[in-house]
Amino acid sequence: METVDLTYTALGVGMLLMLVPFYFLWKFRTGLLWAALAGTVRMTIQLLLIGFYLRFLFQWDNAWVNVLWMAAMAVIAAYTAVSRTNLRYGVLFMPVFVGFLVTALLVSLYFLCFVVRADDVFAARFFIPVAGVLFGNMLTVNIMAVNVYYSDLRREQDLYYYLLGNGATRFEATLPFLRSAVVKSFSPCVANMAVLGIVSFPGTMIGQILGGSVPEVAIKYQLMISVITVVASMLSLVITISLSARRTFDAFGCLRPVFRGEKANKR
Amino acid sequence: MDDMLKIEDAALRLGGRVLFRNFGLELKPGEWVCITGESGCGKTSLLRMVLGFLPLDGGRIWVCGDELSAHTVERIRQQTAYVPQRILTTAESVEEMVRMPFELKANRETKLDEEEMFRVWGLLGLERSLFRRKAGQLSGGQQQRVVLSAAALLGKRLWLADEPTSALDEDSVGRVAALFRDAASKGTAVLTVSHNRAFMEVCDRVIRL
Repeated sequence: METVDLTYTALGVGMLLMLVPFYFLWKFRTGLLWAALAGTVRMTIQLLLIGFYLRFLFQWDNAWVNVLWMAAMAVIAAYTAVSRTNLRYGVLFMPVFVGFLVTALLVSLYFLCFVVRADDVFAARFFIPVAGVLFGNMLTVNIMAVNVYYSDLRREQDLYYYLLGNGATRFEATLPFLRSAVVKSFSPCVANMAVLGIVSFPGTMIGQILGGSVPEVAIKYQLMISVITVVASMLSLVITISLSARRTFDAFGCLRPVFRGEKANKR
Repeated sequence: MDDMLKIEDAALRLGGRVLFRNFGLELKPGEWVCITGESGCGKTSLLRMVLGFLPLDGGRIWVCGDELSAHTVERIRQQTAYVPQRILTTAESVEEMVRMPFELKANRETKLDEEEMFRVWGLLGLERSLFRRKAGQLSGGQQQRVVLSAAALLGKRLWLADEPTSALDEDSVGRVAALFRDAASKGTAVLTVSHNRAFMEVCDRVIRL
């Protein structure tokens, strides 16, 4: 099977479909029209630019450049994750960045070494797309989890202090909040996995089939991509929350100001 | 030092406002002290300060012989039973709510004795059937007494209770007071914060903040 390329005219025709949601966003006076327009323009420009960059990365195919590219993706992903919460950059940026980078490196290397058995695991055509898939999923799960975790801790601090005051270690006292964050951020993931291939046909599989792969190969890749995204999401979440605890709790186990605009009690 | 709790020249400032200064207190084993005062004077904050949840603005605190510091705070909390005024519990069932503090590493050696728990529940006017209910079905007063019973059964040497009668009727206030009196008679040191007049009348000492 061969790849059916899309011409830029065809892309333009496809983009016309966006007029449907734009119309209803305007008609229902949602106030989201401009944000949706800006988002679409941004997405289009970013993807076209990425296509341009990727071509160079693939041609260059240098392991160091690829790892550097992954680090740059981690910086942008961490910045985006923190900016979509109300949490302080200074407190959460580094933990999220390290969580993303370490996880992406570990999971993609495992996948490329032991599953794909690629000759060169750092080859751009393997390393960069796999990292991209992982970052996208880690971002969604981390935003939700970190938000739920710290918001619940702040809102239900009586429960946290109740547990601490009755002898809990900091980890034990945060466990109900960690549990709640994992449940809320992973429920969509788990639900999606359960209906994969029946209700939803995921992008990786569709992309491969449209790109010329036989369905069996596409399905095997999809299965593995689903597995590594779940693993990466969980791992990055655990690393992020563990590392952030060093900055978000003081030596007495009390939650420091983590939200923008909060003031601290001096100790 | 045989004081279960000693506070010396403590000062507390919150949001730039001094809540109290030069505050002192000595609480011996078997003694029950009640802190009272106007709303916002720092009663709840005082309890939180003892457990290291709020920073001291001056002075020193000793709990069970250990001076409160970042190094001792975990050991101190292992020796206290703390009942906050209100808990937004994540527990699904009442049983889970009661068991929660018993599952902590520090308390694992103390097994929850259900018969003893039902005896305490009887003292507090709670029915046995509540144990199998969902936590969300409890009234504020029932929830407060369930949490109190769990703390009581932990067998700690120092109890700290914040407004333990705030959601209770007069009859229940008397029952909770009897529980504290019973614990104190067995050597437990009890520090409570309360506005309740009847409650204050039966404790050993009242300190107005």
